[in-house]
Amino acid sequence: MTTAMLELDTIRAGYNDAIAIENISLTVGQGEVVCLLGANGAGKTTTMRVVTGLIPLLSGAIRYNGEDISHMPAHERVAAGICLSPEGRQVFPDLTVMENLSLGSFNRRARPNRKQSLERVLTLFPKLHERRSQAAGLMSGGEQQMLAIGRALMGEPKLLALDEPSLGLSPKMVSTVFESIQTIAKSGITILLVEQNTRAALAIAQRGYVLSAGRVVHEGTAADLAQSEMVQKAFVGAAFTKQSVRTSRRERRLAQSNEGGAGA
Amino acid sequence: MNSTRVWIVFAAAIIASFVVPHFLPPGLSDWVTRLSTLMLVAISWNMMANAGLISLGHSGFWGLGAYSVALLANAFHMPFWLSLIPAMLLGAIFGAFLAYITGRLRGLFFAISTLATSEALRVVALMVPKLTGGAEGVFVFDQIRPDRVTMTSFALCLAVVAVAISYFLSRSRYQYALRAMRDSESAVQMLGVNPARFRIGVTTLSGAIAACGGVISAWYTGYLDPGSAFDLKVTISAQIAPLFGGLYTVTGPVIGSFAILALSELTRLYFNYSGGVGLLVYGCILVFGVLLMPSGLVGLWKRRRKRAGPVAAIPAEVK
Repeated sequence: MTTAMLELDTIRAGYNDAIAIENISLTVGQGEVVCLLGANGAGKTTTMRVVTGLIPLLSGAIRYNGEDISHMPAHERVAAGICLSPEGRQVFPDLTVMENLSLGSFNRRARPNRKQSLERVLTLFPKLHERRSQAAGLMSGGEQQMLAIGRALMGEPKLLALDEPSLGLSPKMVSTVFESIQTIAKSGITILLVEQNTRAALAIAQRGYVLSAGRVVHEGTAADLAQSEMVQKAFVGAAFTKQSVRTSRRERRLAQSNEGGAGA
Repeated sequence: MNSTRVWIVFAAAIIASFVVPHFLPPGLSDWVTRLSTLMLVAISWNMMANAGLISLGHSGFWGLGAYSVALLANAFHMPFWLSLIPAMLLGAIFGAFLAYITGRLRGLFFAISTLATSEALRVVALMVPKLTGGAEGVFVFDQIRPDRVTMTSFALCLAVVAVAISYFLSRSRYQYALRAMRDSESAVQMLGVNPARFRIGVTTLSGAIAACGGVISAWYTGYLDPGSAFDLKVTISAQIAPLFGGLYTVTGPVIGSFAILALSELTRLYFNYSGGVGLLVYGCILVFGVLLMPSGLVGLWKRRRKRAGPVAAIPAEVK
């Protein structure tokens, strides 16, 4: 493993009285793609919020490039290079695509290079160029997801945090989005990815952690995790076989109906 | 419009605000002064609303501006244009204070806290009669009050400056951040914007502008008491004007102020045999206006123009 860019040291966090994550430790190396897997309520999004500073840390420490950032406010972490594409996209519906993107480069470090960043994002997502003066709220889910990732990229991330980029997208759109994520990773940006779509996530990640009930229950290389039964269990629980058959059938049907269509 | 042309327009408007009042009959001049003060609070209110801060405390800014004028003018014989500085400072400080104490309160909670603080100011003004004259009120020395024409010019000029400020703010990159804050502050923070700084910034600016309205009113009427200085009517008209004209726009509060003042005058003149009927009609028109034109007069006009001839969408240039 290369030098650790992000290091979570036995962190604990939650909402009011409810502790959502307990004793989570993980590292993300420079240039790596690391995924966090787990079922609903496993603590993936909470971990992401702690990393980006949206909720406070109760105990433990977060180190970023060796520096303790446990109590750094969220907007300063963006300036330090940690940019998030949040769960559920959270694009600003009344603002146009361009306005959303330019908000992404609001921080002082990214502002001078806005033009180059914009060019890079629009090359990565040509669809956004087509839709540049459209209100973001009027776009499809897939386009909004591209916008959310593009907006995070406008902040010139060193560490890009992607929270469920496949949420609510058609299988075809999922593969489009994941191809873009792979391109981003190849450009040298470190990625921390939270996903429910295990297969898609493990296909692009080098390493992964499996969370369950707020703890890390398994970790390993992507290849190991893909083989592991433990992952399947942690991910879908007892009803694994039945449910996975049903999902895959639905996925297949969706894929068929989407073939040749615009996707998403 | 390119920026030079905009500067020329604003410069011309400033010059006009010094020239035009000389030719206005007293009745119209009075109307223009009231219009200007309404525009000031409406623009100020709209500025905060644009960032998602719904204020019910604009009478607080107004009253602080008015009282600081009355007290300083009487104590130091301060000329009217100089009194603007301490009044705006006080309004700005109160604005920053409001943003600071309300912390992360949003929506209804923020609105109620602003209402409470402005009411608290009114009660304080009543309770310290040594300073404010209490319920008896306070008169501004007649000798130092400017004449009608000067007053109108001054008011118009301030209104033009306020429009200019809101225009340039709407062109700046802060505008996106403020509009996005209206939607979700945590989402804005994820993009590296410090929402607290913006919130304090916008309430400070808004407070200073609204205090100007109080300054004009104090000099113009020459008398104030806690009830009239911290009048809830100020707060209400400050939000009706942008609502009626077009919320979150630059022109909305301007057109809205013009429309509601003209409307109230017309209903008053037309139904002058009984004041109540006039007010009732005025109220009904406002209610239906807001109901039928959710994006205000500005929105109505934009829609009209779109229907008349579809203009091809102008592609936004890469900035």
